[in-house]
Amino acid sequence: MDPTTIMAIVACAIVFIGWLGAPTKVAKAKAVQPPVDSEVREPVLEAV
Amino acid sequence: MTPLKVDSGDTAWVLASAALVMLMTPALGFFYGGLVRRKNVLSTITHSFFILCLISVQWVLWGYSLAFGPDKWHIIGGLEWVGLNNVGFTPNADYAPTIPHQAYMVFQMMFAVITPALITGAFAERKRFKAFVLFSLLWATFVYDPIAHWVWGAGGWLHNLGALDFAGGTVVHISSGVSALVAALVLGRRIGFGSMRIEPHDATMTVLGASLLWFGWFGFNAGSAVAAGQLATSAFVVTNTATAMAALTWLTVSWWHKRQPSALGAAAGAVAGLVAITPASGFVNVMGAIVIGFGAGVVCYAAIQLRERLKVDDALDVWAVHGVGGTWGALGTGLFATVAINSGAANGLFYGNPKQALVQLVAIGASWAWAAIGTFAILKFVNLIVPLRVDEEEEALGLDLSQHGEPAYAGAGASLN
Repeated sequence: MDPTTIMAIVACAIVFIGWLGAPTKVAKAKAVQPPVDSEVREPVLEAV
Repeated sequence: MTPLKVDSGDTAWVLASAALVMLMTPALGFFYGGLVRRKNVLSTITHSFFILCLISVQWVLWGYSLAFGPDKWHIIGGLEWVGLNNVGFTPNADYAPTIPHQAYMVFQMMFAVITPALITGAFAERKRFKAFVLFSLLWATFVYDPIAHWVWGAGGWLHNLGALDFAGGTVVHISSGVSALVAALVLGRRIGFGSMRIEPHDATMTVLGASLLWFGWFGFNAGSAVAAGQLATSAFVVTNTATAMAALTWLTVSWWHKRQPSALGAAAGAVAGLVAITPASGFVNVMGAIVIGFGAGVVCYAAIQLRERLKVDDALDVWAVHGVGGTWGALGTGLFATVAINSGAANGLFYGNPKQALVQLVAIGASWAWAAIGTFAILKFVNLIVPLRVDEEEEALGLDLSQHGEPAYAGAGASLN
């Protein structure tokens, strides 16, 4: 196997293993009731 | 000597490729347009559209002659082809022996168009339109045309030295990326840079722009084979592979760094991969493309972190993506090139020819130096005639209204964001 192929395989492995170990932070949200006179009828999600 | 014969298949491919590359400039406008604030989107898109018009005329009048005309002292083309004099429909043996000379000329025109358009991302949201017009015309003439001659022109000194640049790593990306850095330093930071959040106004526009760039780039790289055959096919495949790998890599790196996978990061990573594979696309195999794409995702992302740390306001990261990506691609060509792909070229370091890597370093250094010096001189000259920057009130109002008198979106009015 030539050096370029070895480097390509290592690069792919780093990327795919990187995905598996990547953080799983998810922005949390809470429902916010709009003001009474608002044009928005549905509760909206606000990032917290 | 047998007269050269036009091949209809090759001609069709090169003309179609020219059209693909033409699409890249408005696509760049959308890529950049989404990244600026809504008060500057129209001016940003107009920069790209205007350059398409400006350089199309410059190129047929004198640009093509300076870049590809009969060699003078190995540094510039002569004026024999001004106004397309002597550039007709008979193939030119030096550049493309199976297509009409004008087909090659118009294909190269689209490269000359997009290169100064790339720089506009660095001075977005603050450059005076008249200064931009003057700068673009002078830059195309005194920076792009000479470097194109050095690398691609028959008799050019880097061409004679054996530098490999299939589709423009040095000519297009290093020249524009380094010039972008100089322009950002000379113009200075935007009002509020570093003290307030300056955020992209439309990420969907940017992802669409990146996708169209990817599409057009097949003409850029595979078209540079100037024939419809094996080499064009290989360039097409490695272009797609490196682009995908760079996007995957950038996404992974940014995921670890920022703790979430970014859509804009994937788009920027794809463009970094397109940039990096450009010089190598006619010389490397698909494994080389994977390594080049991976490297682009890492080094271009790192370059953005460095640029942020140094507080340089290269607004849309032209230097990090094009300057650094182009440099990595040009060096990568010297590492991974193989005559198994292109028998008319040379092997790189990993195929037993370390000298090619040194030649590539010379080409990289010369392109960096000429682009930096030329751009600095042109900007200082233009500033003597017309101020480079808009004044503070105009900048706060936004360039759409202050420079063009029209908002991008109905009802946008004088929004300050």
